[in-house]
Amino acid sequence: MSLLEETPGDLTRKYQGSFVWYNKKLRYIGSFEKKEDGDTDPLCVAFMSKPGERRYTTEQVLDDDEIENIHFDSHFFNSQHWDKEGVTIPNEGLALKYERVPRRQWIRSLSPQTCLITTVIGPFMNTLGIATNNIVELQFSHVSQMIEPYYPSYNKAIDLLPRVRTIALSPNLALLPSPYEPDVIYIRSLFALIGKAEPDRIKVYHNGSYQEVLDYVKRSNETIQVELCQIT
Amino acid sequence: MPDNLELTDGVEHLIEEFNADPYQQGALQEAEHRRLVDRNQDILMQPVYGQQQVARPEAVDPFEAYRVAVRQQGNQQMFRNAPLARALEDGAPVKKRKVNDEITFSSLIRDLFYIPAPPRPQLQDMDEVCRVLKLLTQKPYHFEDGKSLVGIEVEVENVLSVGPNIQLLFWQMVEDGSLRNRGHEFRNRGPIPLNYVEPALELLWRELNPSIDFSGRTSIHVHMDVRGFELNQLLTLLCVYAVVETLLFKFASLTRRSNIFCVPITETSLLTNIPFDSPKRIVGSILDTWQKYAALNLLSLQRFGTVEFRHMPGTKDTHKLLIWLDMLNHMKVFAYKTTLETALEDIGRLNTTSQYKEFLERVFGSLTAYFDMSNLARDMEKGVYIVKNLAVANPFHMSLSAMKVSEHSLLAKIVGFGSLVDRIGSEKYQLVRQFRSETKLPGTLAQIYDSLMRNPYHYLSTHSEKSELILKIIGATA
Repeated sequence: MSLLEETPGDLTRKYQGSFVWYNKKLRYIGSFEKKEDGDTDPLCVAFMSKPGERRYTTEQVLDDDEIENIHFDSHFFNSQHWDKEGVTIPNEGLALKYERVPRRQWIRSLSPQTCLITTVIGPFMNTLGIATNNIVELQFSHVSQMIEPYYPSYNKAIDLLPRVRTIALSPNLALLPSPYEPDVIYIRSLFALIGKAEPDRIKVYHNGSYQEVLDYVKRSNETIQVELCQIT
Repeated sequence: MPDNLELTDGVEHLIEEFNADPYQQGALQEAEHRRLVDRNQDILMQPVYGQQQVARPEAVDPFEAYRVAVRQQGNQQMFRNAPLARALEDGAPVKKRKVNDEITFSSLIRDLFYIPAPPRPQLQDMDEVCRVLKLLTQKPYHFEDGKSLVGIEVEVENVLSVGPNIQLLFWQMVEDGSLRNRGHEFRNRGPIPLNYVEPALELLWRELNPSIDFSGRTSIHVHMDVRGFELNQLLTLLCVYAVVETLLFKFASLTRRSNIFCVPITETSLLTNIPFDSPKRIVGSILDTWQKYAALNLLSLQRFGTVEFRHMPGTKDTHKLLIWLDMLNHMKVFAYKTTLETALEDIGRLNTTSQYKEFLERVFGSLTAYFDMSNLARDMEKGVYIVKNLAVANPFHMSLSAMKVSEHSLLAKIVGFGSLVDRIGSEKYQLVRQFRSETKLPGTLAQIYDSLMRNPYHYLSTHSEKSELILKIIGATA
């Protein structure tokens, strides 16, 4: 059964509050409805400019292929571009982790129901007594950043860190200030802390992640020394 | 027993004759069999929906009729397995089982979840049905381990008619709310050996109307029996699967990757959340956090002692399905033969494309040729890295996790946990004081400094006359 044959109620259940590609453009869906228009009763979709927005624009759905679901692979991204005007760095810093959630629900495309966005330092901040949400609500800006991710060079990221608190270096690596030691920056993978970051040098303390860091250096054309270290 | 006597009577007669002397006097002649089938088709091959809805095959359970006939005749040849009869009391829910408390890496899955041997059709009966219904092909697909048990769920739409033989031995038809357009799910009545999958599928395709539809909503799920696996063998299977997950999706269908009912586990934290150090916590973690709609569903362990692979979209391509089953079985056999330690060591050493390929050949043998290896490094590196994170102990992370968050740490300094002078030094502190006194901004010095650091552009635009001072504070140049 094609999209056009489904009821507006079903489509609304499947897409309300989710981000989709609509005619190759990123859109946020409010609802579907059938406009009473003589014999045809065309199917229409209401788009909102962002979550929580009351205003919406309506367009007629003409073709099945107009709507395309969005899903990403798990990765780190920066919630905003730090060098843009008007940017306020959130409490939890820039680096966020995206992963998919296979829970039972209706929504088909990218939405808070189908993914989980977590911070890198939320739990540490809470331990310090600074209330921070570890789970972040999916925003339009997040989706834009995931579609066109922007990662700084390694040394630039280290320079930026005091201002931006956490920053993603690549889809698989991020920097965060140490919550344990003074003047130490940690580098972490999607799964765990793996080493220490210094200007022009990464000390990897986890054997299994050594290759991952080497791959990052190679792909980003950085001139950084990567050292495999043992814990003393 | 269904109330519709007219229908069941027909099938009962068929089965009685079938059962009359299947082993000593020879099976039914084909002509006789066809006569019986044709006679019943008049009744059974009616549209599933429509005016004669009374004839819905769901209500016509020849298996049930057969069982009654067997009971009446005291003939236990067809189904000797006593639990089968009990399990076939349709609708009987399978209860969640209690988990065995004494868990080690060597514990068997069937012992962990108290899963008894499942009821299943006897080999002789399957052979007989295959022979009588002429389901055996000239060149059957050769499985390396054809005795391995599987259960298959086939979702189909546009089911207009259901032949009488479908539910005879191999399949049962159930409703599936996720399907539309006369959609039904056909699942095996019990686990069947791989060698019998081909005739079972042949029977299904033959007995359904040719216009059945495999829309995007349909899929084919495969349950692999792992009751005899030890916990560490199951973990080996999990690790090997993670490494090749993307390749499996590429073989089955990449579109399934973005399906919300078949989410790749390497894109979730399901696998990485499993604490590999403690068998008890491993089992607890799987039961508590695993999700049914993961591409590899482990929740069926508790119910059936199986792992469920949900990747395959609906298709009538029997050859592709058989290769798919063979691939899954190769993984199972590899996991059975390889200790967790060895598997983790092997995966831990995978760094190059040629090593990836070699690993694939070790697991899948000649089936490796069916994988799309155009971008092997990209397709396997994430899975390999996940397993390396599970496998190679990360004492760095563990040692840090044991530490207490410090007020003197860099994080504390950055987020303003200490005094502002300590954090930024007296020189910058004076600059912030100067900035506050000149701008008359409300708030403490620490608040103003943090705000400045987090949004310098705002202040540069609202206090452009102080831009030099702002740049000095944030440590940037114009």
